[in-house]
Amino acid sequence: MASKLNALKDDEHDDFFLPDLCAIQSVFILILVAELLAIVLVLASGPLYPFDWSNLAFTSLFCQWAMLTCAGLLCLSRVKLREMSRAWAAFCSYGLILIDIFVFSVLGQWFLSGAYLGDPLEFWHEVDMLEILRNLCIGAIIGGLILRYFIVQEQLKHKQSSELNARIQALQSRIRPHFLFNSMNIIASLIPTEPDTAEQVVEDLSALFRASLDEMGNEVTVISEVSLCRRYLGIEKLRLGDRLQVEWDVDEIPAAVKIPMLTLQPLLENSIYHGIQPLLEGGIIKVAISYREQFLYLSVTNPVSPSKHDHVKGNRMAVENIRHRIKALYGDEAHLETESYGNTFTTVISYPYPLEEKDIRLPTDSRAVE
Amino acid sequence: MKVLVCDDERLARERLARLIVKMDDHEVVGEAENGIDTIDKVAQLAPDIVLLDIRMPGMDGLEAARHLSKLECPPAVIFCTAYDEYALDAFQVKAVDYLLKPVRSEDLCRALNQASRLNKVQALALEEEFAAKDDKPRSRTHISAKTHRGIELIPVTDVRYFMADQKYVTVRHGSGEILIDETLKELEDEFSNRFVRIHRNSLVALDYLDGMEIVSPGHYKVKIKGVEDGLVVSRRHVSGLRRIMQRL
Repeated sequence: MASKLNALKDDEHDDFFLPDLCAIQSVFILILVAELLAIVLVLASGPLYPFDWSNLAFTSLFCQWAMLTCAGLLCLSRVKLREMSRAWAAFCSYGLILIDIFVFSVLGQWFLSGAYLGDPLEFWHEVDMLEILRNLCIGAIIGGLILRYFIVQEQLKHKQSSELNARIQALQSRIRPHFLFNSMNIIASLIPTEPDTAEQVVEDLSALFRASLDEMGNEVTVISEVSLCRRYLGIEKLRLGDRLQVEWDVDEIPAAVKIPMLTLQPLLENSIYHGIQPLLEGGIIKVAISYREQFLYLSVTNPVSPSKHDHVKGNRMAVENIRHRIKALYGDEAHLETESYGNTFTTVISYPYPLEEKDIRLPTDSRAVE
Repeated sequence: MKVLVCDDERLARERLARLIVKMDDHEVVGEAENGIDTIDKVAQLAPDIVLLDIRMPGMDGLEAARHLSKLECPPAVIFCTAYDEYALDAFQVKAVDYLLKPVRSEDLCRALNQASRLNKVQALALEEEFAAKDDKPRSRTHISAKTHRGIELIPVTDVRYFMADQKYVTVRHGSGEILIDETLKELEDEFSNRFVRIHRNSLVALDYLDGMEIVSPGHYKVKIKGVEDGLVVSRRHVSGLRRIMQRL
């Protein structure tokens, strides 16, 4: 997994839209494209039969020259271009292509007219500007298309790799391996002495894993998220004993109010992992949930060890995931704030969940139906 | 062999103890709940082998191992861990014995039979390996010194200053002084966020700084909370120290 992640990171570093044009593969493809372009140009300008082979020869020569020198120039200036902003880099690449075409158009005429035998000054008077302009137009269109293709392809690649990254992150944040193996250890300890408790732990663990394997963004009732969390805390309580205390302050929440599954649980896990576990004497985690004026509020407070200042860092990934999820589901009014105050750390989530009058009045009824 | 089981989770300790009871050659002489407890129990019970969980509150297993390795005749250490991405690499590289939880009886038996002592170099290297992979500086929570009673631990938060003298460093703490066998440079690097250098031979705890006073023109001393005599500040540290004190 680690090597795969590293590979992804390397890809991210290489997020420049211009591919390495000096690579053999790219050169081959460029030659092919140049030749096809030459054929198209000749076909467009004359009859299919008799085919104008000499025109093709000259056009090919010019196209190949222009294409390969452009590639060479871009390849050489790639390092410089990378340091610029995207827009500038694209602009400069485009400029380079046009200059290159201009230079080769002039050189071509110079060579073909035999002017290299005479006075260079005289040649300038005979240059066919229209011809050069024509070449530049074609070059501008084709060059623009190719650059555009590179940019789009790079964006696609970037999007794919960031999606993959997000998925890996989501997976990692949902299942903390430490928790899994510690729970297994608990079960192994309990089997000979307290088989009933062991059974309970297996059931709770299954419920948690089933939830974590579910589609992300699944919404559930607040009550069911709370009961999942109670199962989770039950397991942790076996592990940590009296060091872990939890105070619940859950208001009556209308059953129609939903919460993305596994929103509260990762916060509790963080509280335990970074707050309770490093403390010799443990501490109290306070959970408060309320629904006021069409908003759901949820807060988790845990003590932190005064000497440890790194807990914020560890929290970030799970917290970022939750923040993205609630923003995606409930819009910009959804918030997740963290606050470190003295020796306590608090995470507060709030998001709008507008309900119709009738839904608010029926919390107990709908729960009875369940 | 006498085995000491150290884990902050009661159930984990019970399980290890139960597995060991079934073995003929080994017996559990005690249990410890954290790193500090481990060091006390080692002094009391003189076990041959210590089964040491890595993640424990207060003082973790790695630090405990490092302090233990200072003993004249340290017990063999076998680390236990549920899952540490980086730990496994580090252990393999340093050839230190480790067990994964839930521990299998055969593995435990093999480890106990081959248990070897962790030397000081290994313990230190292991901690460094962890710090490097964890991406955050790891500093000890305690300073340890070997005394006739075994290992004495002083919480870093209780240290007023370190003063170097020829070969040793004197640690001045809340209830006295103690000599340790470390260099001031190492201490400065490890605790750079807690201590400040005020002289070629001294580091002072930022938490206990209580002002700077002029003794004579160009000569300064710092006042330290809970310590009667101030410490001399060398000329080249005066301006740096003044800047730090303004920020406090």
